[in-house]
Amino acid sequence: MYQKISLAVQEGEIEEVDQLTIKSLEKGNDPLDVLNNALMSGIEIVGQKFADGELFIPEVMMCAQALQAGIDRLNPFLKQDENPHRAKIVIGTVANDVHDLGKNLVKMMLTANGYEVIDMGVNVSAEEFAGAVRGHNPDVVGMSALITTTMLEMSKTIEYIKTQGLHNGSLKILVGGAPVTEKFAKEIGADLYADDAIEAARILREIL
Amino acid sequence: MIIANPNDIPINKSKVLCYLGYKIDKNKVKDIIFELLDEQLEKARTLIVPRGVYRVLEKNDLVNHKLFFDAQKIAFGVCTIGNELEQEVKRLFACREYTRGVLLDSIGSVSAEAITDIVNDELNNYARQAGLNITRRFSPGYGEWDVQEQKLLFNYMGNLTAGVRMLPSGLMLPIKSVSFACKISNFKMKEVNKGDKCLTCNMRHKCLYNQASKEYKKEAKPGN
Repeated sequence: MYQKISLAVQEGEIEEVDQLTIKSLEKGNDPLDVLNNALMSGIEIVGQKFADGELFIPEVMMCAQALQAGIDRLNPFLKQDENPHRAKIVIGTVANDVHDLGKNLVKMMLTANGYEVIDMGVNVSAEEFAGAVRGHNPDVVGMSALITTTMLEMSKTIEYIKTQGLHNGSLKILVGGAPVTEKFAKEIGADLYADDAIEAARILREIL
Repeated sequence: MIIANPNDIPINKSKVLCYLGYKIDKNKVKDIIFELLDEQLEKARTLIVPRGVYRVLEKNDLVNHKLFFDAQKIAFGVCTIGNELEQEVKRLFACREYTRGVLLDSIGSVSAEAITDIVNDELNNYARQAGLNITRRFSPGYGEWDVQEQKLLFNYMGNLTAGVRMLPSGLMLPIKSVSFACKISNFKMKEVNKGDKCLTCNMRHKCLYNQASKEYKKEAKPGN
């Protein structure tokens, strides 16, 4: 059964994942076990196939939709503290940048992976990011930028979060976007860097 | 202002898929993706409002700029497909229709380039009829032309912007908009755009389109 669910996720079969997840629960399988050994195992293979150039963004989107259908089925049966993926993430596109497709892809992948995502939208100032960190107490704050001029806002935002004393031991700062590199992420003091939405989900699965 | 009928805008499906990373000659595209692509293409025709403007200035009217050193005239252009497609992409994402959303977004990018090609062709005809040479178009943010100089371009366009607004960062709204310049002269000029703008784009190493679109890059020729 788990193998079937995993394959259905890999094929992006939304309805099939939904039905198989219901069946799996009806058979008395542990919801957490279904999450980890069927759904997440499927999406991990999807991520690997994307990295290997075997799958492309539209197909990955279908797989994520399928994953989300399964997680939606499981959620009522998962206790809050049982779901290891149920961390909170604040996400937004930095000030002066209005592009949201990349940020939305990350949001989608993280939501599909079971994380609670608070989307701040686009053109989010350093003060707004800091306010969201104060208000939501997230595990991760994620920033996106599309062009070289606006990626500099990431540096200002991280600096501001730090000067406000919000970058304590538990909060991780994740950056990404077309012009952003791992080197730049390190230079500006980010904790994490992801090349794309799938990698963002993979990295967070590792650390949260 | 040049306003094109949405049905006259050539939207190449392979190019749409290239923006999403598919190498058309190598990667098999699933039937379901083609079905969704057709569906979104049809929808896009009802959403896009392709339009563009250009303005030709004598070089004397411009501040000295190293990029334009060998030009006698400079043409600036701004083109867009409007805002509605972008809003529909947002709506699709909000409804968790992610696959449709990314396909429609990619169609938007190709449409914006297509209306820019149409406006660029008009400009080429103008130059040809006047017996002048014209370079390939080049845009702020690519190669030697800093994106901050979008301000310069918009300054020279004045009120002629086809409804496109520039933000302090140099980005444009609607997002699916393209701005560009071409150099015009009696004499041969140095091309700023070497025929593959990806070569001078600092995001080329990550860009799916750059990796997937070798065939389209061969199409860019001087004056085209």
